[in-house]
Amino acid sequence: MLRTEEMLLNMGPQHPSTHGVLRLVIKIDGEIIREVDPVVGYLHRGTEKLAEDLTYTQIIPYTDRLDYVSAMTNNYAVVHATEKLMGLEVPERAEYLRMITMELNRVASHLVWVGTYLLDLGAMSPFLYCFQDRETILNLFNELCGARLTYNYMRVGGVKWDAPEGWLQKVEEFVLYMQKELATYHDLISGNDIFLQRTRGIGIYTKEQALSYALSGSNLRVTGVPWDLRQHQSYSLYHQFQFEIPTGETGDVLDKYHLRMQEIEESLKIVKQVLDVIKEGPIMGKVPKVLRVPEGEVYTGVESPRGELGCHIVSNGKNKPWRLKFRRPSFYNLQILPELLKGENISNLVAILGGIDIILGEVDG
Amino acid sequence: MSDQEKELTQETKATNIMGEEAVKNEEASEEQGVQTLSNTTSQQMNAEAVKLANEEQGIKSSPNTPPKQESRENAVTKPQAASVPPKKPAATPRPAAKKPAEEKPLEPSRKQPWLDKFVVKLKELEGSEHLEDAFINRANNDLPTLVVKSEWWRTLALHLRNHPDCQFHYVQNFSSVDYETHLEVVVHLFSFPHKERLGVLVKVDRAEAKVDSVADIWDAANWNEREAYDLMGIIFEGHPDLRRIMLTDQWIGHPLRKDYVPYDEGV
Repeated sequence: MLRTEEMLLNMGPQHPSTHGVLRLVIKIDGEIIREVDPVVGYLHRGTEKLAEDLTYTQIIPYTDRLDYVSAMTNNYAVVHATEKLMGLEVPERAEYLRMITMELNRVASHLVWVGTYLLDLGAMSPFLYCFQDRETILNLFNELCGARLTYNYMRVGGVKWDAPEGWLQKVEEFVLYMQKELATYHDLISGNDIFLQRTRGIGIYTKEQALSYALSGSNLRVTGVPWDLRQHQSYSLYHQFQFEIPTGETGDVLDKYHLRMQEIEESLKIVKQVLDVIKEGPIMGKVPKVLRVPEGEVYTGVESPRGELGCHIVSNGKNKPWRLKFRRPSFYNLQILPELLKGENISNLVAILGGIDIILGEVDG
Repeated sequence: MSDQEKELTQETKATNIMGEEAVKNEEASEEQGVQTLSNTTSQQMNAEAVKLANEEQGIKSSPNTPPKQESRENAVTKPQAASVPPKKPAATPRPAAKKPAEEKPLEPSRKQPWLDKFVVKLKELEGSEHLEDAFINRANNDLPTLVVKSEWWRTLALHLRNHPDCQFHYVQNFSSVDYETHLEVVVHLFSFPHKERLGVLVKVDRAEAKVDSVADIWDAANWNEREAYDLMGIIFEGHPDLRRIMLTDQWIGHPLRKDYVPYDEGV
């Protein structure tokens, strides 16, 4: 065997396959990774500190910038926690609109993941398909709230805008189209030999590891734990609707791909069911003009595309939170990376890192 | 009382009065705001401007005070940690007897029996005198919550993780709060085998913010403790790699502390 010397390799913070500004300090021995030290914080904006000087409504646009790929769920996380502490009732139509937007956002987010992940692996065309379909969703959101990515759509007690005329029909058309379109994705990707070889059998971890690292979302479900906050710590009106929780079998990155594709299907199913029952009605509950949240402490978690997105609020009875903390799923999920990469071949690095599906805006808060 | 102190008290008095006025004004303008909704835009803008100005005053004059933690005890039934002798699951009736004095008599939470049993078992643990309080957080989906002193945290964490009755393998949330009198590490745990949630509030001294690390008990605590050290300035003793994680290594101070002032060389 060739005698090799350990080498220090710096990947990022400007590297296309880190999807943002993640830096990995890697010790390699030949082609084998010995140690990885992720360096995060390049996108830290101090959202939690800023939030202490903002009213609850003013915080909402800041949450758009955490996980910028699924801003609707972020909006919901902070709004939901505040409502919980205030004991507010939200009108039915508002909850339905929230669910439609959140689930569409989950579809959009997973499409971004599929597209960019395959781009990481060297496949160009799926990216174009994914972003085309995602664009339809973004256009729908644009019509609804005037923004493609940073929606600032939800409010404590309801939503800001009602669906414009014909919008719900457009959503329904999209859902029907997308349900069929998924077959195209499977034709294009699922059987691709290069894709299978790059993803099969890599990035595997056990259920115990996943729990200890507090992974959530598809990263936890891939180990076979059917854990979804939409069902198990139900919020909004999810308990009214039927949907499956897909879980993985082997736990490798290929499994994660199939799982996320199934999640798109389930989300579309939920949207379809909501569209069947949504009725006209008010979109804002009875909310005082100045939100004063009663003294107390609350932690609520919601299922974002990446996992459990939590919001911990400590209130002192004023119109601004005393302390606001986000449990950011990407931050938790990224932590397992050094363990996954130890002993791996360096060519698998990007495939494993991409499989976790991190958003750096969320990792860094 | 020195002159300086006198000045200070006068100032605070003055600001207090201002604060009251500001509040009144704010309330008035709120009403105004509602009334003018249908009126001309210029009036609306005026009302908005007044309100904004008042709010600004309000912020300056009435300092933001930390939430009073006694309210927890009023809002909940709790088995008295110190006074109730162990092995007395009858802890529920006693606080229930206290209840009628409150404005809104609440029914005991559905989680109360579980918590009472749990606390009785915890009492058998070594060092359980450090368990300060156990209550149900009604606002938070009836979350059973423990309040403990920092020196007991590691023992408790090991028990919660490993004991067959607990098996809290999953850290849902790891947070920290500055209450100005003390710091608090807030951990929300979940047990998959028992399907139970539990909140633990670890009280940490503010001047000498030190607490044992639990990074080897839950892997998820590793980066979270680094984050709490970085932003809140809590030192986790025994942590394998306690470096700043969000800010640069040269950063001075811990921003999430309430008395944090940004360090600027130029000033």
